[in-house]
Amino acid sequence: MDNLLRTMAIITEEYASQNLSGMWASVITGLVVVFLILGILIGFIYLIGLFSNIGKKKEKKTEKKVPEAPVAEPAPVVEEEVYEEDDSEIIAVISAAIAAYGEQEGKTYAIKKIKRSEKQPRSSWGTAGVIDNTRPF
Amino acid sequence: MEIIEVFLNTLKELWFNSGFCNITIQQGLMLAVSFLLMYLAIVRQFEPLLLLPIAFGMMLTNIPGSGVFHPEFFMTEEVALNGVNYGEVLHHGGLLDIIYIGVKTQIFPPLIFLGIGCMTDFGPLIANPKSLLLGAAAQAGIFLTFLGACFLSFTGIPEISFSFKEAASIGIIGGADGPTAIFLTSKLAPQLMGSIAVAAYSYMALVPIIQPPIMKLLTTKKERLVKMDSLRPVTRKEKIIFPIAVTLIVAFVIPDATPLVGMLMLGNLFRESGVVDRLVKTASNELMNIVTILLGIVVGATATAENFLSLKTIIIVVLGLLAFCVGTACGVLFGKVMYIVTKGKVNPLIGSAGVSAVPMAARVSQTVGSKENPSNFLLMHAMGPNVAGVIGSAVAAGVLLNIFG
Repeated sequence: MDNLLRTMAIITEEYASQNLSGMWASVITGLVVVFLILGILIGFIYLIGLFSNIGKKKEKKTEKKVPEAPVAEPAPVVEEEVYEEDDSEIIAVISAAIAAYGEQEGKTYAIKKIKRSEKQPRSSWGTAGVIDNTRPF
Repeated sequence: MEIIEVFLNTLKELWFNSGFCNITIQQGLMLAVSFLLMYLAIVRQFEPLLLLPIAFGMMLTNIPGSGVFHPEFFMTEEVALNGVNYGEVLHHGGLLDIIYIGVKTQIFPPLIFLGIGCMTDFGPLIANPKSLLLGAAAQAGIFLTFLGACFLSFTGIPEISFSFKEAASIGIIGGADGPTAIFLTSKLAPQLMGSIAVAAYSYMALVPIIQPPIMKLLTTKKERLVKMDSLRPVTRKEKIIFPIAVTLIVAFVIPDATPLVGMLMLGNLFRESGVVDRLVKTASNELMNIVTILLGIVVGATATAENFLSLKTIIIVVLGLLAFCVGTACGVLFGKVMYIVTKGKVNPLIGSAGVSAVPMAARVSQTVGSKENPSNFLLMHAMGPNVAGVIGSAVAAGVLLNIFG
């Protein structure tokens, strides 16, 4: 591609009136190359996503094969709806919040499952965040 | 008596060497322009981070006899043929001449891109890769404005005729990306640097005013009301692979785009890797701020009276506006195509965010969409084409540099 562009041999100090074909060639080449590169990137991003999902599916399959371990602590269970494979930081925040809540009541909670629910309407906190982000307009 | 004579002669010499005695009308006008830009930056807050140093640099360079910047070191035909004589610049140059080496050697714009990379979340783009097409479509503004600038040479009037190199530098204003515009112009048409930088940053500040009428004109109410599905979550692994893959692909195809895209993606890799927090903080704060000051002041300094006060500057301002409008329109029109192809799942308003101007253009999409339906949140969907526009304009600059450089 690099060589192709260089061999276009446009005398760059020229004016369009002196080299009309050079002008059109530049525009067409420019647009085609931009779309081509970004098109390649689209394909590559899909590939990255595909490989990531394959990894995820394999993990899920292996999880299914392992027999479920008996629950050790018979404490009240709290279910939070959060993205399944999200960072441990979020889990830590949720755990801390629940622990703080439980402390007030004098109870202890064990988190057994954190699951994201799809198509959930936007929470009031989320709405407040978006409004805050777009307030300048 | 002799002492008084010497004293008076000294005062006389001081007066004849002072700016008051040597100022030309053109320089006076340039000082007025710099005051106007300072007003716009401070009072109206038009891109103040860059417009303020640009305006101040413009003021410094137009003070008669200040000697802070010498265009003849960088912008003559001899320099274009033989290259810059850096020895002469270092020995005889002023403060801004020496700082300008950072622009001429293309160091500053990629460093700004490093900081931008550290601050950019490419998640919305990875979640919806098709938005890259909107980023590409908006770059049509660059090439169509290039075409417009080229056509002016058919008038045969030298004052408004642009060479291919100059036309390419003017076209890049449509990318709505200041560092990219400076990067390309410093290589292709340094004599137009001041006009192009001022036009680019002014229009970037005016995005919320320029874009909405075009967006409303090109879309129907039904299209503007489209609510898009929520984006899928993006894994950390994808976010880490993305900058590496983009750098490799772009650099292999268009090596001239490597400085910009490479540094953008390096910054992003710093951010997403999560292991170099100190570097991320430095690149996105201190380093970027230092480079912004240096870049702004020298870009302003290139706007000397001889370079800036010409019919060409007015034409550049008009063509720059055209570039922005065409870029926005092409993005929205491509958004309409995606609306049809996806059977109404894509809101065409996000197409306008394909011009870079991060995150301003995405915010404009959100604002126009929420005016039709306050419960419609397009911001994250518009961030995809918005960050795609940054990559797209860097690629377009690489292509133009490859053809004309």
